[in-house]
Amino acid sequence: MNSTLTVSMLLVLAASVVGSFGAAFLKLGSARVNRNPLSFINRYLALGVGLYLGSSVFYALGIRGGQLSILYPMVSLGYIWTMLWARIFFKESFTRQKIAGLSLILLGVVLVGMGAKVIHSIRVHPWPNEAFQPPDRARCTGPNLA
Amino acid sequence: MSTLAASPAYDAAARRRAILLVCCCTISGAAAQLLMKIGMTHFVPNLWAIVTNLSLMAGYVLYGMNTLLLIVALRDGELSMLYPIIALTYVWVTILSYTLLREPPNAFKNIGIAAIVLGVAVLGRNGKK
Repeated sequence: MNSTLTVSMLLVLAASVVGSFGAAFLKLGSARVNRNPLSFINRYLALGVGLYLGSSVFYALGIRGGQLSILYPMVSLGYIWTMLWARIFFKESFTRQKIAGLSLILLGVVLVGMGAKVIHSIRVHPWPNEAFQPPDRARCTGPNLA
Repeated sequence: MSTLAASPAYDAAARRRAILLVCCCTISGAAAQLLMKIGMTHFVPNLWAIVTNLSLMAGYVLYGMNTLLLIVALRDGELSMLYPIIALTYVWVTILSYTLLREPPNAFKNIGIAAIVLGVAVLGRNGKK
C-alpha cells in the first residue's frame, strides 16, 4: 500500500471520528432546544455544527489521494464511534443487534480496504501494430481522476 | 419525539413521502460525493481557488442540503425502514466510482459494500420510531 493512500485513509478516519463527536454534541445541544427560537443558539449545537464542518474538511482532503470506491466506505466507521459515544456519554446500552451491525460494518470496511491491495492486470494493447490502430484513438483515453 | 408520528393523522402517505425523500437523498448524496472527489482532484491550497472550484462547491452545497433533507425525513419516518435505504448511498457511490471515475472494480470492494449495507440495515432495525 502506498503512503499517499495511507495518509488519505488516516484523514478519512479522522473525519469519521470528528464527525461522530459532532453528532454527540448535536444530541447534547438538541436537548436544550425549547419553544424559544433563541434556544437554538447554544454552545453545544454550535460546537456540533462546527465539528461536522471540520470533519468535512478532513474528508475532502482525504479523498484527494485515493480511490473514492475505497475511501467513501470508510465513512461508515462513523457509526461505530457514534455508538461508542452513545454508550459512554448517554449510557445507551449495546444490544446484540447493535454489535452485529457494527461488526458487519467493520468487516465491510476491512474488505473494501483489502480491495485497495488487489493488483489489477495490466491491459495489453490489443493493437501492437501501428498500422492496425483503431481510427478513434481519443476514445481509448479517459480522464484519469484516481 | 415527533408529534406527527404520534397523531392519528400520521398515515401511510407520510411514510411514503419520507421513503421517497430518503431515496432521492441517497442519489443526490452520491452525486455530491462524486462532485467533491472531482473538485478535489484539482485542489490548490488557495482560498480563491477553493471558492471558485465549481464542482467542489457544488458538491458541498448538495451535501449540506442533503443532510438537512435527511434530518426532515428521519423525523417523519421509521428508522428501521429508512436506514437500509440510506445505506444505498454506498452502493451508488461505488457504482459511480466504477463507471464515471473508472476505478477498478473487484470482489473485495463489492462484498465489503454488501457487508456495510447489511450492517447499517441491522443497526436500523434496532431503532424505535
